Amino acid sequence: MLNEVKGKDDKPMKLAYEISDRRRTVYSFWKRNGPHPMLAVFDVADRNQCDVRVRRTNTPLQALVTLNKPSFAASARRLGQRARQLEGTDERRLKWLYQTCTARIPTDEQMQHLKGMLDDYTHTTLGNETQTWTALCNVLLNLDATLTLE
Amino acid sequence: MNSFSISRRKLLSGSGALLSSAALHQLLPSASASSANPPGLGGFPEIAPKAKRVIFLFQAGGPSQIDLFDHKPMLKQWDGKDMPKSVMGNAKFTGMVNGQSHFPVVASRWGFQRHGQSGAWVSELFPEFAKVVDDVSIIHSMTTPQVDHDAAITYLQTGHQIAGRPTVGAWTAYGLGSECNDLPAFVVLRSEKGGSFLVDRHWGSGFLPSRYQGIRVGGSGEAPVQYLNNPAGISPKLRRQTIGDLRTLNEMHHATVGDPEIETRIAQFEMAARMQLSVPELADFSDEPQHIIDLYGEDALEPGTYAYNALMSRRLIERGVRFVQLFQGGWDQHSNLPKQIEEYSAYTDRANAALIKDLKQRGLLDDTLVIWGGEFGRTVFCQGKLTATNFGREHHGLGFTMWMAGGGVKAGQVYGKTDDWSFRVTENPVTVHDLYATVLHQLGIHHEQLTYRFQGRDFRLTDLAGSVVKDILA
Repeated sequence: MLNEVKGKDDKPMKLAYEISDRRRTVYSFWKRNGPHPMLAVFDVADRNQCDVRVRRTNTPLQALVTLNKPSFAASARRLGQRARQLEGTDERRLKWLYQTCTARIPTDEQMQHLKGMLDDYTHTTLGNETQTWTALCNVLLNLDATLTLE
Repeated sequence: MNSFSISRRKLLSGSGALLSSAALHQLLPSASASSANPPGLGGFPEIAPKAKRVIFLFQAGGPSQIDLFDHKPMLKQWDGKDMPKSVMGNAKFTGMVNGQSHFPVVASRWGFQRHGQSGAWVSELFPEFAKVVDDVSIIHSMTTPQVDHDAAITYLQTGHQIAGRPTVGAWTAYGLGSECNDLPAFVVLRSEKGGSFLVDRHWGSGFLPSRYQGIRVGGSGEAPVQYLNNPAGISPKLRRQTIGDLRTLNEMHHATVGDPEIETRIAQFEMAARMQLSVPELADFSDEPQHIIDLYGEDALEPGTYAYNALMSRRLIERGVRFVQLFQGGWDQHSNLPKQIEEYSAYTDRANAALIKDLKQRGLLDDTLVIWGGEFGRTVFCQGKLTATNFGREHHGLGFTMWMAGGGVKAGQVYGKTDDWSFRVTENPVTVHDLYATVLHQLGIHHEQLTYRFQGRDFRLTDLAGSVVKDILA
């Protein structure tokens, strides 16, 4: 079981659950002076006072989370698996992916580019399908059109 | 790509807004997303700058000026006796001393001596700082209207006590841009030791676009920035390709919807990719010679310590970062002050002095402005029980001490005075707005010219006040 982590002063701590990239936080404890680390990166309201609206925030640290955090990378890998399971052509898979991520139908120009990406990544990964589609989905999940609602 | 971006709000607000420098900035092709850091506003610096960059050593909690800098020998006669009502007047304090009927004076328990050519008084708590007083301008006459931590930190950071305005680092990044393309223009470092009331908005960009907010580096202690490594299966070459494709697809989207915040996102993803390469090198202190580690102390090799962050500050500004702000907590000494002030003075003193010496020997002190100070000072009277060995001090904003060094500030000067009680300023008061008028002036900006239109009016860091403190300038 992957349930041992290092706590304060490197003391080993046992968690009540197994660490897995399939876990999602539904409820979390809120501590006024110790906000959830990931939510803090996204500059969540601090609860010291009323915030009428969520502050707009956009930092390179957030980009690193959504690009590289293992749970986000796992989402990209799994999304790539789902796309590859679709019947039909790569074109259909790319279109489905773009629409699933952004809720928009890709333009011809965008489709052209997505096809180019698929070729490029296949070349770079020497034909490794998992890596190719994971990288492709990593891009799609990080698009502004995916992350923000216009 | 379409760099001729303009938000709907700007377009609808008419020509008045279009003539403001902020709007012109939006129209300039140079503001395109091609640079990971935004360029500064056109026209700044408008006066010849003495400082190109700032390191602000923020001492959160309110360090006791009476025990560190503001020597008041007269207090020996009053030690333990109630402070006269005539001196106290109607000064406001927090609710923490509401229950107190006596306000016994506490003379400093630490010895003071004059140091350097300037003869500045420094307490024995800061022996290393005492050796560099001739490079420093000590201001004994700082004032703030705020006595609660959050309001006072917000006031010192933004020039206004209510949250929502840009912080001094964000204003600086907005006005001057950056000289560095692979690190953010405004970087924040936090010391792990010492409690404080700091939250992310204390280095936020307020109503400025979010790309100007302070970016925190070195928070976790384990890694200087989280998630710098590519996930499994994504090679560096593949990462470069994905960042390029993200840009292309985001630009296509931007061409359709025109939201300027998409440009910020494009820039931030490129900054993230650059930081994946620049931060490991930045955080690798193995290229620091032993005499530098000796200068800052062994702590400097331990991420998250004050000494580490002080050395990191120097490394950041060497790489062209415009504004570095280091936050140290632990100065909120309501009780157990003797033990705590000795602890935090010892923890920070050597690194403060080391930073000044280090910048000086590299010729960087001439155009780097170093600022030391907290959101307020502490009272002459005791909070809680005064015993032979123990006491505490309450928040105090009517007169407290900050110091500045380098960046065209007069070296070896002591400026401003408080009364014999270190209670009220009697000579040359310096408000937070005066401080920032001066800081901006050293950066080559007239503080009344650096504005941003928000909710129908032009805002500035110095609100509707502030004068440059010319007397402390070289």
